[in-house]
Amino acid sequence: MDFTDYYEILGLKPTATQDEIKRAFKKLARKFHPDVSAEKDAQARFQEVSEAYEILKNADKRAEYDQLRSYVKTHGQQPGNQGFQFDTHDFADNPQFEDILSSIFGQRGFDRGGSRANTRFRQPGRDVHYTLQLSLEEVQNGGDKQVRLRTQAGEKTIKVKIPAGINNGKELRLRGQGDAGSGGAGDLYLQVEYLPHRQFEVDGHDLVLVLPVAPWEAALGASIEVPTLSGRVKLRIPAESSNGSRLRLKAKGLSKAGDQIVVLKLINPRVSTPQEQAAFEALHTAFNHFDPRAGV
Amino acid sequence: MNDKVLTLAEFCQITQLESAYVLELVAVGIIDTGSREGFDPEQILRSIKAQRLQRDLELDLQGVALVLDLVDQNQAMRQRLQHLEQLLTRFHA
Repeated sequence: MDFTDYYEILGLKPTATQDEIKRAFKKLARKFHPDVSAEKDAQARFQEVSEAYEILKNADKRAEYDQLRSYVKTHGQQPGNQGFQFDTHDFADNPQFEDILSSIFGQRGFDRGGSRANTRFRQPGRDVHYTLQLSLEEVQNGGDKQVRLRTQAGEKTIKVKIPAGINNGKELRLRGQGDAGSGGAGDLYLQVEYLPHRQFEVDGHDLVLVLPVAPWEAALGASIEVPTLSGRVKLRIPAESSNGSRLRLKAKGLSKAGDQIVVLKLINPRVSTPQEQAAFEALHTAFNHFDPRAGV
Repeated sequence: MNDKVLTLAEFCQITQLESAYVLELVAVGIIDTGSREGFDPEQILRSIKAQRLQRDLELDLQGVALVLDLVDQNQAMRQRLQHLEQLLTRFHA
């Protein structure tokens, strides 16, 4: 296990001034704040950065930390060996280092929830953030879902009620389902992430299907069976449709407010036999006034 | 999505925010009680985020409001971009 180098976390040299520490922290806090950041590990990084700043901003704590750090740098490990991570709990459990720890962190580690260290015996549990991946079918139907989570205390399964049509990126908050703490458990946040679908794309509440059609279907119109999330339906393609034309199937979207949009994609057949060649030549003759590059 | 509304007391209980703070959030327009008599459960998370941002980034409420709006816009744009990219990929496949 590694010693946590708070200077490295803040991207600083050990000689950094208090101003530099403050500036580095503020910059990284903005970058990794879980309510702002799009980074995958934002929550963990923000936690790290906050811990580092909590120690380094205070001259006394910093001096003690520096001592510990230079010990590790010269001896390759932390005093007392056993390869302890520089973790408040591991240290606090080791009587030999209780003194140095309590002076650095307060009696029993500082609050990892981000607030001040004066809550030492009633440490609230940490909020935890997870991604909740949902198939488009699950989004459309809603309902209860069993979600397996790996937590500090091992794996657990919880039942989550999914509102039908829930938005991509939306967060669900489950009160008191986060990590346990002596001052009550933190909250559990689940952020919805739609799983990619074999056939459909999502645009807000609408589903989008790219539908391949033959040139004559587009030109003459056709009635075609198309898939929706709730089974196949007939779609009438109007005559004189073109590549990229958009057709709308009302109320066939992800939620009641959404539709299914069908985008036509014209596919030319491969021409291999003499009859097929003749057919295209006939087309050419019939359309000899047609200039696809008019205006280019 | 949800027609249920919460009273100020219920809202404070769920968010664990002070009522004065919640009213401040309403006053700057971070949350909106609209024309309805009460608070929309949709606003719960937004209020909690507002408080976290204010505390962790030392912002004033006007700054918090701006951040929350920009984060929403950003998310909407990212999703739209992702959609258009995927559509383009399918279209050219």
